[in-house]
Amino acid sequence: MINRDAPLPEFEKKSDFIWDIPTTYKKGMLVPARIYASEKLLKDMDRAVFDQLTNVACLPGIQERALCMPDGHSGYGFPIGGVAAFDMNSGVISPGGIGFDINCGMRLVTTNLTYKDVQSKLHKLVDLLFEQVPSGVGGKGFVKTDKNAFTHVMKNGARWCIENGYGWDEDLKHMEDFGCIEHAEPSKVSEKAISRGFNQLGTLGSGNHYLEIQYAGEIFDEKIAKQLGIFSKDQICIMVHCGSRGFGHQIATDYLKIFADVMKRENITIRDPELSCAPFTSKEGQNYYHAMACAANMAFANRQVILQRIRDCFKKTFDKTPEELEMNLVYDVAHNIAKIEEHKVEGKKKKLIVHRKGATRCFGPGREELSPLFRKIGQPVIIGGSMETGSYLLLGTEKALEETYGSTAHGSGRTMSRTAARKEIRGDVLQKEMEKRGIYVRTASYSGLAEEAGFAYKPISEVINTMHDAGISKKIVAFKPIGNVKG
Amino acid sequence: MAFRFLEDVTLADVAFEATGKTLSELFTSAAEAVIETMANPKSIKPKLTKKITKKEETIDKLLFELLEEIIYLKDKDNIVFCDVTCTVDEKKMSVKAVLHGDAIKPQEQELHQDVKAVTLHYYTVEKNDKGWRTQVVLDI
Repeated sequence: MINRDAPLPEFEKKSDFIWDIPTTYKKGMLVPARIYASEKLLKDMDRAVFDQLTNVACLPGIQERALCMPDGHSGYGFPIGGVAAFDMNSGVISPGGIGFDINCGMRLVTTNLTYKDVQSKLHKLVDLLFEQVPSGVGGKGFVKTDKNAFTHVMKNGARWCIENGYGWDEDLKHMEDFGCIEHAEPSKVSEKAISRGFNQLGTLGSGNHYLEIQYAGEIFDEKIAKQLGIFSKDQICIMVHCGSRGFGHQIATDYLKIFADVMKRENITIRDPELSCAPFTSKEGQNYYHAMACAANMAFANRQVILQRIRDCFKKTFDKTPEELEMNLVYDVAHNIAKIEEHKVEGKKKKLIVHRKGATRCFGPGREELSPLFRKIGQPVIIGGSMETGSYLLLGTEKALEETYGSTAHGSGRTMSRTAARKEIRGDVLQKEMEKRGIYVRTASYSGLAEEAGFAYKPISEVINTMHDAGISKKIVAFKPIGNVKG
Repeated sequence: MAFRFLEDVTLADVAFEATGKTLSELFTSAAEAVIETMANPKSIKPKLTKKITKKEETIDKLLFELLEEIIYLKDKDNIVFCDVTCTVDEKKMSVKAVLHGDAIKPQEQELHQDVKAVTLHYYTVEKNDKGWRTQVVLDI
């Protein structure tokens, strides 16, 4: 239940941004829980976050501490904003630590257009994008695949898109894991998941998913911004937020059920049924990991085909090729995923299975997983705010690798329920109000639009400043929205 | 219609409570809540019929499976629904549901949210002196 009035746990304050809940808080906690937040964000968090995070701290094989980022809010199983790393041998893998929307993520694309160039054509552009990129409930994608081709999507992710004309070779260097997670095994995916999702390649979905036209509002680090393709204030960029659609949702659903039986067999007790898990080394744990990788690859492919469709829409609107418009991918990040990564645990390097649910990988400089383009500066991190307030481009840091398994926030974090937001404002009224403020929105659902109103989210600047001041990620550019296709 | 959306249960998702004097009424109410989460049923024409049959070991699993199947059909067949009738056989622990709906047509229909999944978060099915009650959180 959403509750912000109950007393806070007795935190151990480690710094202005780090608050620990010791293992004495709850029976069964194997490690402490740690929340990254300003004092204001901490006090405003719904109290279920603390209960959920300390439940995560009870899971077998968890390392060092269960983490929650400043955009944290209650979810099911893990809180949204949750990060936990597990020992590869004694630890578990949990769909509740990843989310139903496997590899829900963000991508950011540049243009060489300015706000002035776009202003007079904004309605035409957003209308075209709304027409060309399916959004909302269900929906067939604009990419027609048969089940055989979809197998290649599962295995090869964004690489399949490039091989089939949906993008540029260069795009792959600007994606987490080059747009393809290893270990994908389509044989571990149910027919039900395939039949649910294979028609949805090239769809945004709904909820908080969107496609947004933005301009660079503030540049905090000009040198790095230029390296990433952001050269001046008022430069137009595009941000996309979506995931693996019904395909990923079904894989999570399937394995939550399978894991319920595994837990009985393995004698694993959990404090929340949505924390259903399996030993990572078990047959079922491995099967889920391989199926999850298939969904992650579908999500990379989904965002890639959408990028190519966006390029087509810009070409049509501005009568220039995407190359001429310099529509380059800055980066693509996953924020609902589990990955095998090497991190220091008590000073020693160790391979771990790191879960991020509503949290973004933010590797600092030097990590070999990064493309050579980013190995010296660190990984770009894209954090989407509400459709009214703006978004950010950040960079990963060494400190993140030391403290958070190279993880940071993923968004602003909700502060009001969808049902409550709908009672506050009507979608059509909000649409008109936003247009008066220079943000043109097209939506597949007016009730869905109302649910995504800015007041339903935490102030994004507070979230970003917390991560920046804590040294976990570094602010590079803030973006302001001017056009939005809302699922 | 014996359901209501709850605003104080979950932040990012949709929670509802459904009731019924009988199990058939409970299942129908809960299924109605799911279809209304996805679209305004008044805006959907009854052009297609879908039938779901499920058998499970317990009532809570049976309801869970039924609601999941409705969400699955939405994606697989690209369909939204306008009405549903459920018939539960408690002895056999089975349910038969008949749903009417139409292919998703955003220009004609009032669509709401794309439900991802039924969750076990605060999920309950209970019998009380008025009949049956369930609380469900849908992932959005």
